[in-house]
Amino acid sequence: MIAGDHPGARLLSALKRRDPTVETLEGFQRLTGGAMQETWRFEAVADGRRRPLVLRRAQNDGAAPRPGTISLADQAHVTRAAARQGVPSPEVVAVLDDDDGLGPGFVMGLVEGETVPQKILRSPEFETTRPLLAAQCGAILARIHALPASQLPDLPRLTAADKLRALRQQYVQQGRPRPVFELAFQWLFRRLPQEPVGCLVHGDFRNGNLIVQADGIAAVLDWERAFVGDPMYDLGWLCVGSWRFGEIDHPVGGFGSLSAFAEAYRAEGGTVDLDRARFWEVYGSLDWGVTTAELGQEAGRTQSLEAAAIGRRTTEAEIDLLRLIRDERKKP
Amino acid sequence: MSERPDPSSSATLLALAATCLREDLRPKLEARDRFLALIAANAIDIVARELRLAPGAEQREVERLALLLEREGDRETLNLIFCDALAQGRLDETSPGVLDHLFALTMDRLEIDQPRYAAYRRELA
Repeated sequence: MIAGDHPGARLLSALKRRDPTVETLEGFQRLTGGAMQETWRFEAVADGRRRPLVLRRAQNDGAAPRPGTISLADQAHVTRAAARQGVPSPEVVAVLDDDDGLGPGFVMGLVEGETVPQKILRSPEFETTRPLLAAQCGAILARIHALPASQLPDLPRLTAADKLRALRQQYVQQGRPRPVFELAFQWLFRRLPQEPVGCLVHGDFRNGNLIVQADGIAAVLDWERAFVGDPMYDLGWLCVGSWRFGEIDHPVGGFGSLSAFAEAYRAEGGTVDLDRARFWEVYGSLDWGVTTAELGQEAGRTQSLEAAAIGRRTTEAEIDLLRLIRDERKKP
Repeated sequence: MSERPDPSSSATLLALAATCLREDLRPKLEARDRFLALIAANAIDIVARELRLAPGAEQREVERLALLLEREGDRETLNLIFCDALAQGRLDETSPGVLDHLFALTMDRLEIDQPRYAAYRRELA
């Protein structure tokens, strides 16, 4: 049983195996993380120098990744491939293996900066940063989407139909019909795009998974939901209303405009398809809505106040869905 | 008829509990607990709004559904029939009254759940 144990001693031997100059590990801090993964911040001391590092590992040792997510080792490999392509990324220092006795996971360099969405969108210290972010998202996503498959681990290939059917199944299993969701599912099934499958898709590219410094995006995090599919998925998800954190007139992550995004995306060789991005924005709002409903339903069992409160955010996704569907009707 | 608590006194009780969490206890707590106290206070506010607003909202929902579906029934039954008609494609966003009903339904619920959500404020304006 590894989950919950302090990783210190085993982690030291794991890092020494790869870099014999490492002497000690200090200052372990458990960072708040998901239910499936745990994240630790610590410092490695080598040659009298201290290097801040982050450990991310599975909470259930050896458990298969959740449906729709990839293993921690694959996340580390994708992070490395993205870094080589010029995507701002933390340096992956070690990918844990069976000899390490720590379960699946990896160690990366700590990137300083802000990840709290509301601070990035409202704090005065980012006033000159914010106008840069929509274009930076465009340039970064274009590089991600251009990553050759030969440099990637074996990732799930998912079409729009695959994604939509999986979401429908998740919703039906909840056993609680909601008319706005029913309408949104039918709207999406009627508009399934003929998409070019074959690009690396980040899968969770949004404000909250980006480390931001004064000059902009310093690192892209959380490749847990990466897949091979339609690149416009990432743009649609980035535009989902809940990820605008109140800045609803700035569709790209609450940061800025679609035109700023598209100009930078094209400059890096990408092709923007706004209809497909809109399809994925509706899909993303529905995905978030179904997730919140599920968290709310599970709150009685998990006894989590936070989950119960998120359960009361389903209606946010519903108003976003209705506004999108209404606005598409108005189009000529 | 059994005695039900006076809604105004329930509302007062909840308002006092939320204020206690938010104003008396929260400042004395550390970061993580301070965050949880805020979520707890917000949860109490949601229930207080629900007690006040849900009966009217649910009655309006039943009335709109009865008109839309041209039949009588309780809220749960009508809602299941409506969901099924949407799932089968017999009704969609182009059908008369469907989008209006869904907007009204969702706006009524947002007034209870998330009255500060930006898209809700925008639709009210």
